[in-house]
Amino acid sequence: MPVGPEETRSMLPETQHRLIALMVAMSEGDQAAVFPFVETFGADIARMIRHQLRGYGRLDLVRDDDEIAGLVHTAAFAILDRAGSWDPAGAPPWVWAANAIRASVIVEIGHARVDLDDEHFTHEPVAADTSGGHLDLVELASNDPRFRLFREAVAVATSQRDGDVAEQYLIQQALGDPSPSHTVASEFGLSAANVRQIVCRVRRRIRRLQADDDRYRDLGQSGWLAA
Amino acid sequence: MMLLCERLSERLAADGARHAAAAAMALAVRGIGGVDPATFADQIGISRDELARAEAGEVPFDELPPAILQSAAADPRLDVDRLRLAAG
Repeated sequence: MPVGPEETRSMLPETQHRLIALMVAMSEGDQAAVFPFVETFGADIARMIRHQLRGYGRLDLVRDDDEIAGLVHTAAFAILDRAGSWDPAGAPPWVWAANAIRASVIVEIGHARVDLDDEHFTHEPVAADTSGGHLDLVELASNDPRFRLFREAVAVATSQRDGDVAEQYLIQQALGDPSPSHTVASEFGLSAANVRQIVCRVRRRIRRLQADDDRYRDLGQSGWLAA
Repeated sequence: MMLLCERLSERLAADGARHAAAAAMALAVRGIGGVDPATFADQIGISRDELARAEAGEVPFDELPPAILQSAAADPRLDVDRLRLAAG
């Protein structure tokens, strides 16, 4: 399975020049460069990640574009952290850093995923905290029709557990939590990567629901649904 | 780009940035533009020091130079409101 050119110099000169410029910027600590790096070379990185995932037999992830997008980001940060050691005369960064990418991907995807069956998952609603420390989702939904519609869409589009995770993520984000995935991961006994994957999945399913059902069009392209 | 921006924000927060979401947005705007800090600062009419402070996470979201906020708002791949929420 080819994962792209094995030597940077076998790239087109313009592409090679672009890659070297971005890697130099990242090696100098310019984290802004990760954006054009992913934009320009994300497809190459994704190819490498899919190749690795096939090796683990994780075909479920290979076919999931949202999961792959998240793993491309993970790989890009792994490359960013090592950019200073990259040799432009050698392999492209995603080939050169394949071992580091593999390690990051394994951390990200964690244990083999087994979808929870709702009947094996006891959902105990958290009692509203009248001290003001927690949001009462039922009250919030009753006061805000848009949020009520959003909750309904979550309930229709996804499992209760995924919906709970996604809602808590949204709430933590709205409360200004700088690392909502970590907070929610701790609450649900998941990894932060799992939380991000669940949120991606819920977003994707709600977007599909919007396309299929006019009732949910009013949710529009609300910020939370943006990819 | 938005998800990447949020990932960067989490990473900056983990590294101790006080205003990580604001920093991530400033970095995203410049990164997407594909220019170095000095060029970008000149392009949007702010000082290099202002940009450096914003990218270092030293500036609260709502105190970012308006030119950075406007640049972000003009890019459909970024969601300023969502980042503002993350900033708290």
